[in-house]
Amino acid sequence: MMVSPVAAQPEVDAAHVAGSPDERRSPSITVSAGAVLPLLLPYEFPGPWVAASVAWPIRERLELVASADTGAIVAAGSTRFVGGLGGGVRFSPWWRIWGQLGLGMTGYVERIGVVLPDREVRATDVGVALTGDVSLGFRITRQWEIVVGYDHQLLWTGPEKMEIGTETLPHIGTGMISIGRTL
Amino acid sequence: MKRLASLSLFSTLSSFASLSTLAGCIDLTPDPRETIGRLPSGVPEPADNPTRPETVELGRLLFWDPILSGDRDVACATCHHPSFAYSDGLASTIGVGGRGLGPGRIADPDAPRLTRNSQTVLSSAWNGLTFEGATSAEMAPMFWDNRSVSLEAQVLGPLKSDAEMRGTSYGEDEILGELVARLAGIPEYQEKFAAAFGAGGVNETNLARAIAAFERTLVPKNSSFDRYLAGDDDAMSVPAIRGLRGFIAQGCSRCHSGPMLSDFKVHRLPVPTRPGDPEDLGDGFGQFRTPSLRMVSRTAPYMHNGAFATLGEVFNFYHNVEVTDPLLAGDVEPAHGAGEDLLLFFEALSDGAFDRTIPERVPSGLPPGGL
Repeated sequence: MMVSPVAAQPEVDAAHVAGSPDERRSPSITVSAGAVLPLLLPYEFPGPWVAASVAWPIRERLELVASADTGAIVAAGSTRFVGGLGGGVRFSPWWRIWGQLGLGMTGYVERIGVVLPDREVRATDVGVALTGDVSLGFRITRQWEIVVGYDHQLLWTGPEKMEIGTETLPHIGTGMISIGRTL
Repeated sequence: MKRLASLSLFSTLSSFASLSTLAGCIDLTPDPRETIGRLPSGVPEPADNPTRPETVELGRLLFWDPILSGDRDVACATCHHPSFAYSDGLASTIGVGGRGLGPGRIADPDAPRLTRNSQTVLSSAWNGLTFEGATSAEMAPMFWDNRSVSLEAQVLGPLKSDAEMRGTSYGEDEILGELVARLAGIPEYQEKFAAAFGAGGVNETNLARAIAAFERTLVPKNSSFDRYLAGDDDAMSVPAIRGLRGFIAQGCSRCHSGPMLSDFKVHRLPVPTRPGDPEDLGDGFGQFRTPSLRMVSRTAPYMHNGAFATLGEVFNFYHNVEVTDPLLAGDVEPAHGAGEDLLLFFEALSDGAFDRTIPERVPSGLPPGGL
């Protein structure tokens, strides 16, 4: 006889699979902290990243998620502050694991500073990007989870093209790794 | 209460993030040997060849006159034409026997071949200028392999090269005498040499001095980069400034440093040999001088043999380069926003105004700039 993961973790399922109509309607809030990773650019460093998300159960194993996040990507002479709003659909095939797909808008403010003999170079750039987001969560306990994610830039402001050749690795997205706690 | 504790945790983490972020706002201050800067206002000149209007004007005519080639078909301007930023737009230059100008120039299959890219004459007056110190005009390094010093010495090199200007009608030991005799036989040149050099008149030393004096005037002025460094905040766009930062952060300025964006040293790089070309050992050890990036957007193709048609290809080369020079440890990759920022920075190095005058005639009566 097969034992479903739902049946094996009844106390967890009550919270995450939303068994009763009341539970189905009640959203859960999760706060997360971790690092944002400028993928494929080895001379830029991971920066701090925090996020908050609200998840509404919409049917069994499925949640609608809204989230907000902020962080910074740091490199020598450049700090890019990022802040995003997004939404997506989260699917939990088993109680410990969930996957999420979504869309987001990420704004950024980049501060540039270079000290040259002739002058101090200063500039501030602002822009926004539409991103496609994918993330994968692993629930350690009912309240704590580890999440890895990737935001891929689909559309962005600014005059620059993002690629200049077949081999050059452009800045096309950012990765995130975080620890979250459900309130 | 638990929710309050969690919110406190979130608040604490947010504060940590903010503090960490602020701590990350650190300016990039390059090593003095790896920084870049603007050009000085005055061009260095040798004590025995001050830049005077008479000398410059004579040099301009000589620069454009194909009478200085063995077969009267090639002028200095053939391969250093203002329409191509005083280069020629070819991967490797085509000297004697060629027809046409620029990328459309057609080689004579029977003429000796050249395998090196024509470097721009623009700003060559500052060759050797680095933040470690200014090289005197008499010691300014010239050519891809630094094989001669001073513009005056450089001038005579192409005149004596069979593939560049001499051809095969005269020997290397004969050609300068022949050229001086030709010039001395033209009254207009006699007058202009006398006006420029007095009693010395027409000789190979004064021939070289005149062309070198003209070349010292070929200096682009007021590039966006120089205007920005002089205090004009609007001279460079934000993406171009981001490119400047990336240029330094990625290590490009380890070699492309100083006001000329060149360390004027030779380095060994695994630049691919173009199909059909013999291997070029440069200075004898496979090394070539770091080219200046002044006017780089106007002087394609790139590398000593023109192996790369675009700057994008150059970026790809550096991204994949195997380390054969200690200065190249690590990759070169575009920064935030990618390579377009670097291209915009390079454009800011290349948009200065320069002398594009093409003389209507030269004293020999030959077509200015050659055939």
